[in-house]
Amino acid sequence: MAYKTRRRRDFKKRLRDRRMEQVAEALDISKDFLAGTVKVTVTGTEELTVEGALSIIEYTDVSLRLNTRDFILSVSGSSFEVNDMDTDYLRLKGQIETVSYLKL
Amino acid sequence: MLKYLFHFLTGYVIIKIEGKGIENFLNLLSSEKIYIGRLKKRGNLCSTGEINPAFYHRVKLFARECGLKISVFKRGGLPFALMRLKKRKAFLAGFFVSVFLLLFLCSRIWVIQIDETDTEKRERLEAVLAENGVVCGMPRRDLKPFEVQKSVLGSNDEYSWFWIDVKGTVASVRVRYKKQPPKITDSYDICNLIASKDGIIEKITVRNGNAEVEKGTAVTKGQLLVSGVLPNDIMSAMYVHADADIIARVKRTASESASLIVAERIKTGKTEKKYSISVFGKDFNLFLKSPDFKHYDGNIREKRFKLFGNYYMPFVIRTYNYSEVKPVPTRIEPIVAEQKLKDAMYGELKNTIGEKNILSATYETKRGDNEVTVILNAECLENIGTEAEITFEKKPFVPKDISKSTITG
Repeated sequence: MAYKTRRRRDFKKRLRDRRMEQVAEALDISKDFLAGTVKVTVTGTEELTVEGALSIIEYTDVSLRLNTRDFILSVSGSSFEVNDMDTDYLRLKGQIETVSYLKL
Repeated sequence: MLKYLFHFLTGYVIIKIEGKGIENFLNLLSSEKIYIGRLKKRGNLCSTGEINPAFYHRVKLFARECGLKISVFKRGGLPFALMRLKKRKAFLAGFFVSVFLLLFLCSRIWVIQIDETDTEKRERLEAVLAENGVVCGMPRRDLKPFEVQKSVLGSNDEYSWFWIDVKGTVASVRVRYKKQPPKITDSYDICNLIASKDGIIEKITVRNGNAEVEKGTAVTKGQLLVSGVLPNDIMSAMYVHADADIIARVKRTASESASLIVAERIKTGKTEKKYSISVFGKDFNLFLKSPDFKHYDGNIREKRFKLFGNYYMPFVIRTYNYSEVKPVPTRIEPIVAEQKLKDAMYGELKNTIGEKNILSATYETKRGDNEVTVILNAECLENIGTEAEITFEKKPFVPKDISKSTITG
């Protein structure tokens, strides 16, 4: 019963997000503003911020993998340090070499 | 920046996380809305991170759930610092006393800047300020510029505008002076104008009286220029206070001598430094005796202690720099001495009558063995009119003040 309820809730959320994405596209504004998509900001090669990430899959001082709704974000480099981490916000500092996305 | 300040004020604990699977632990914290910052790997199975001390016990439970071991690595922030300082009572007392002193010193006026170079005017202004309670050491909140302005302008005819700007512990005083109105002459004070010097009249503007000379007239000292006696057909004469501007070309002569042997002060290279401090306006010398030199040149450098910006404190360090000199008699070139004398004499004349009134200046020089003499002959424009009493053969008729007379009959 609980499983069905959760599935229904997830389905409703996805539907709402898709509609919001359509609205954002029609209004020509950033999707993260309405639809709650993940926002990745890379500043130079030393800082990366992710807003709207779901969970951490892997964290070492040379790599970081984050699970988001639509993709897996993979960052590699060296001397990584998570400066701030909150419910839906993460700020990574260190020498960033590659940033890759794996579509789910 | 604000986040770090907030963390400092609320305090923080840096925890050491040991074990495998730190990712689950971080996800758990994230889902429980527990902030973690400065997460750093310190080896394969060890990390450190910063959390709020209030969540420490909950975090410990989560770590146990994830199979990790956590311990306190470091404590930081204001609450922990205060906790440590609680035992050091003397230090705390000293801290609070210094904070109190700082607040006290910042709440008073310690420097009064006066925008005036003339020493006499400056002293007068200082006295006026002191009368109105504006002194060094007065509380800043007691200094009310509008009230002082009202009081100073009301009681002094000298100033047309007055203002005090308070910035930090400095009160800057600015004044503007009134143009004095012309002197009102008493119409019963009858007089003539006579020449105070020999000269040739260049311009004459008579306001009252009868002009006896005209432009181009050569006059001698004591000659009548403007008469205070006006001829009248009805009465015998009218007597007035003669008033006029009489500009004449006059000659000025000055002579000065200077010796060719001067004592040149040569520095020996020996220097000495002395210090003194001034605390709340009282001077304390940090030396016992004056410099050992017989002849010396000196200068004083003053350094006022300030916190920041315009927050000057009542502590001044004065450095007296003395350098020994030896007076050596030296003969200078006559032409140099002459030029110095010429410059000095011209400067003095310029200060006396103004440069625009000097028409021409010529110099004569006389050279002796050890002395030069310079004679300055200058042609200048000067007001030569000076008041002189009217001499009467008979007693003059002076109209009575009718307001005081009584009507009889």
